[in-house]
Amino acid sequence: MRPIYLLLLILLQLSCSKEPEKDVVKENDNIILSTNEGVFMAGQPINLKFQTTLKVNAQLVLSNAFGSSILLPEINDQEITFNIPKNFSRKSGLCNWVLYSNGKSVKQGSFKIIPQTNSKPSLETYFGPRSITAGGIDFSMLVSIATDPFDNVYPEGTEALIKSQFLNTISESVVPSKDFISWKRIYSEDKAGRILVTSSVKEITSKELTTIVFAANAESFLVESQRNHKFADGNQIMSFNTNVIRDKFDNIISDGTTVNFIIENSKGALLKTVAPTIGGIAKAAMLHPAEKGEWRITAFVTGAAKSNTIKIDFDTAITDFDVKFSPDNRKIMIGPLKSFMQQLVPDGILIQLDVYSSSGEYLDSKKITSNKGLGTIELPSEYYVNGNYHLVVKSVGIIKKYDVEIHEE
Amino acid sequence: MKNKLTKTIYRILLIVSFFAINILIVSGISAVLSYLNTGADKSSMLHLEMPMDKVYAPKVTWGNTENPGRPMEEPSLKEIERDYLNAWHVRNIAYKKNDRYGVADFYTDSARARIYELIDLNIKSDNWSKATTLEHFIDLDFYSEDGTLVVFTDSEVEKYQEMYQGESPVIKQKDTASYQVMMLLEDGFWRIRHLNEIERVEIIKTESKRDIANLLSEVNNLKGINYYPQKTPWDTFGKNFNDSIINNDFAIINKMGLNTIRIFVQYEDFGKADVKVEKLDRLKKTLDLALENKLKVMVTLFDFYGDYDVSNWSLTQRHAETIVTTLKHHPALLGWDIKNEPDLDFDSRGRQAVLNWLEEMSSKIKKWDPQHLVTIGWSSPEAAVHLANEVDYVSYHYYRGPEEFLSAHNQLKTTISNKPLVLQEYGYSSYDGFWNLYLGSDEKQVEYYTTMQQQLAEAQVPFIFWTLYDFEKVPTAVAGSLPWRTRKQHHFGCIDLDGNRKEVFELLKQVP
Repeated sequence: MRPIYLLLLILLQLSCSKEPEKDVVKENDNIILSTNEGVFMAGQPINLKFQTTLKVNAQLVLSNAFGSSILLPEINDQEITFNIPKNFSRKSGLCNWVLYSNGKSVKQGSFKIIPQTNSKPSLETYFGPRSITAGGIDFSMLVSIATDPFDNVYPEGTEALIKSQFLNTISESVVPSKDFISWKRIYSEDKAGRILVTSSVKEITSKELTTIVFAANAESFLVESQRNHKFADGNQIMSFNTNVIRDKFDNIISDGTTVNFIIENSKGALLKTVAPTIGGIAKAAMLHPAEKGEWRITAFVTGAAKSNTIKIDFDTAITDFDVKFSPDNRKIMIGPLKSFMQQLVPDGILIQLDVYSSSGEYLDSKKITSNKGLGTIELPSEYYVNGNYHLVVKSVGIIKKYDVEIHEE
Repeated sequence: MKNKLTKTIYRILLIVSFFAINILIVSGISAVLSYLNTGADKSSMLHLEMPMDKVYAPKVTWGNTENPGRPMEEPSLKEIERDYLNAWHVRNIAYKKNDRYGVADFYTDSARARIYELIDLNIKSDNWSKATTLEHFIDLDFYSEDGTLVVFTDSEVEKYQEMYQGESPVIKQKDTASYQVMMLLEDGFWRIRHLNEIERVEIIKTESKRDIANLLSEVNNLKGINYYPQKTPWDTFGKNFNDSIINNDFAIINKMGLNTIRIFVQYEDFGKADVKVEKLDRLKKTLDLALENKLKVMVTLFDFYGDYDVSNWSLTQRHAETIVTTLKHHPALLGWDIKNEPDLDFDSRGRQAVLNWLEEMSSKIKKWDPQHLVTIGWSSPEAAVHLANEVDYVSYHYYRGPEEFLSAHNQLKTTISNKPLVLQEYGYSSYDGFWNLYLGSDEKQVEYYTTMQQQLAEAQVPFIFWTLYDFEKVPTAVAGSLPWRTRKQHHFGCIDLDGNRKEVFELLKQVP
C-alpha cells in the first residue's frame, strides 16, 4: 500500500474516532444520507432520504427537546424515505436522528429547525410588578417574547420596540432579544399615576399593560383637633384630623394609608385611635375625658412619617357633688352630678367607692356608673358587719372621704 | 350401648360446633369493627401536606446564578429546581405509559400540547420509552423583577433512554444534550413554557484518573470473611450497633490471619436517595475499627434492592454517590461491590434491565471514586461472565459441592483471563436437624472446608468465606420463611451460638 493511502486511512480513523459512548454507531458506508439540507424552517415538510443497495429493515429514532419517537420508512427501490412528523418538523431547535437497520444503529445525525419568521409573530408580554412607588428608584419590568405560528421563539437578536407612556411623555426603545426575551425596566417618575406600556415586533403589537405608580412614603404632616367645648364631661366626641399628607414629590399619599393618633394624658397613660386617609386626610374621633387634664396628641404613619404634637386642656365640668347616707349608713347616694351649665350629666359617669376598715386597712372597691345623674351604692350586712369604716368616694376627679359607723337599723 | 355412644358423639359434635360458630361470629364482628376503625384518622380532615418520597433525583449543579434581571433567592432557586426536575419526571412517566397524567402541572398550555401530540403519535405507532436524566448543569440567564419568569441554560444533560416498539426494545441510548429553558410561575407551580435543544455547551469537568494498581495487586492475596455481628445479622448498622462488639469480632478475624471483611449496606435501610447520617456514621465507624484491626473492607452496596427500573436510576445513583464520596478517602476501604447476587433478579426484573443498571452504576462509581476497586458479587461462577469488562476483579459465590469447584473455577478463568477472580462467598452449614434429615454436622463442615481450602490454596484463589458466626435470627428476606431453607442459614459460622469455636475455626486460621 502506498504511504499516502496509509496516511489517509489513519486520518480517516482519527476523524471518525469520538468519545466512547454506549451505543456507538458503526458507520455503514452502504447507506448514504441523500438529504443534503441541515437546516429547515419550522413547518416546512422534512423528508430524510437514504440511498442503499442493501435490503434493510430500517427504523429511525427521532428526538428533540420534547421527546423521542420511532419512525418507519417508505421504501422505494433503493431509496429509503422517512417523513418527519409535524410535531418534530414544527419545533425549532436541534432534532437528532439515529438510523437503525436490522436492530443495529448504522447512522446518526441531526438537523436544525429554525423558527418560521416569514409570517406574523405572536407576542407574549409579561409585566410586573403591577404597582410601584414614585421617585424613580422603583420599577416594573416588561418582558416580551415573540413566537412564530408554531410557538417557536424568534431567533436571538429579534428587535422589540418597547413603548411606555406616562402623563405627557411617551418613550420608546428598541431592545434586541437575548435568551428568548426582550426586556426593559420601566422606572417610575416623581409623579404618581399610571404607566402604560406596550411592545411590538414586526408591526404586531401587544395589548396595553399598566402599572400603577403610588405615592412614595409620607412626609411629616400636621394634626389639628376640633371640639364642641373644653369641658371634661366624658360625653362629647372630639375629632382629630391631619392636613393633606404628601410624599416628598408632593404626591398625595395613597388612600387607605393608616394614620395612628397617639394621645398621652396628664397621668402618662397612652390612648390610641386610628383612621385611614382619604385624599391624604385622616380623621379620627375620641370621647372627652371625664376629669380635668391635658392631652398631648401626635399622629404617625407607622414607619414613615410623624406629625407635630398638639396640646389640649380640659376643664372640670362637674365642680362638686353631694353624698348622702341612709340612717344605718349602709346605703350611699351620690349626686346629682351636675355639669358646667348645672345640667344633669349624661349617664355613665364612673363613680367609685373604696372601703377601708377603721384602722385604715383596705377592704374593697365598688364601681358603678351614674344613671340620670345619680348613683347608689349599698353595703350589705352579709359582707360588712356593724362597725366603723372609712369610706372614700371618687368621681370626675373629685375625692370625698367619710368615717361612718355602720349599724343595723 | 351403641345408642349411648352415638348420643355422646352427637353431644360432643353439638358442643364443638356451638363453640366454633361462636368463635366465628365473634371474630367476624371484630373484623368488621376493626375495618370500620381504619382509615378514618381525624387529622385527614386537615388535608395536611403529605411528606412525599423523593421520586427523581438526578445530580443538579447550579453554576452561575448572576443574571441581569433580579438577584436570585435561595428558596426560589430550590423551588425552580424542584419543579424543573418534576417536569422531567412527569414527562418520562408520560412517555413510558403514553398517558397525559401530571404533565399539565409542570408544562404551560402551549408546551404541554407538544407533549400530548407526541404521546398521540407514539400511541399510534405503538412506541414507548423509558428515560431518565442523570446529571444537569444549570446556569441562570434571567430572572424577572416580579419573580414569575425565569430563563436558564441546562448544559450537558446526561440522558439515558430505552425505546420500545410494542414489547420489543429498539434502542438503548445514552447521550448528552443542552437545553435552554423558560419557566413561568403559575398557581404556585413553575411550569416549562419554552424548551429548546441548543448546540452543546461544553463544560470543563475535572475527572481524576483511575489509579487502582496498588489495590488490585492486593486482591491476589485476599483472605477474608463475610461479616455480620452475631446478634444483629443483616442489621449491622441498626439501633443495636455496638462498636465494642464489632471491635472484638474484628480482633478475632485479624487473629485468624484474615486480611479482609465484606460488609453489606442495605438500600432502604440506609434511607434510599437521602442517606441517613447516623447510618453513614456507623458505617464509617466500622471502617475505622477495621483499620485499627488491620483489615481491608469490601463494601457491598444495594443489598435488598430489587428494582432496576430506569425511573429510579437517579435515586440509586444519589444513594451510592453519598456513600461512595463520603468513604472514598478511608484507608481501610478496598472497594465497592455494587450488588450482591444481582443475577438472581434476572428472571423477575429482566436480564437486560439488571445489566444496564449495573453497567451504569459501575461507571458512575468509578467516576466518583477512581481510587478503589469495583466488582459485582455474582451468585455463581457461570453468572460471573457478565460485565467482566466493567469490573476491576470478578467476584462470584459458590455453594455447591466442593468437588466440582475447581472445574467451575477453571472454566471461568478460561473465559476471563485478564482479571483476578475472587471467590467472594462460600461456606457450609453445620445445621444438623429435622429439616435436613439430620444430614449435616460439624464434621461435614470440616470436611467441606478441608477440601475447599486445599483447592483454593492450590489454585491460588483469593477467598472470602461465609461467615464468622452462627446466627440465632435470620430475617425472612434472606432465605424466605420455609424452615428447610432458613434453618440452614443459621449455622454457616465458625463460632456457634454459645460463642464456642467450632472445629472449622482452627481449620480456617491462616498462616501469616
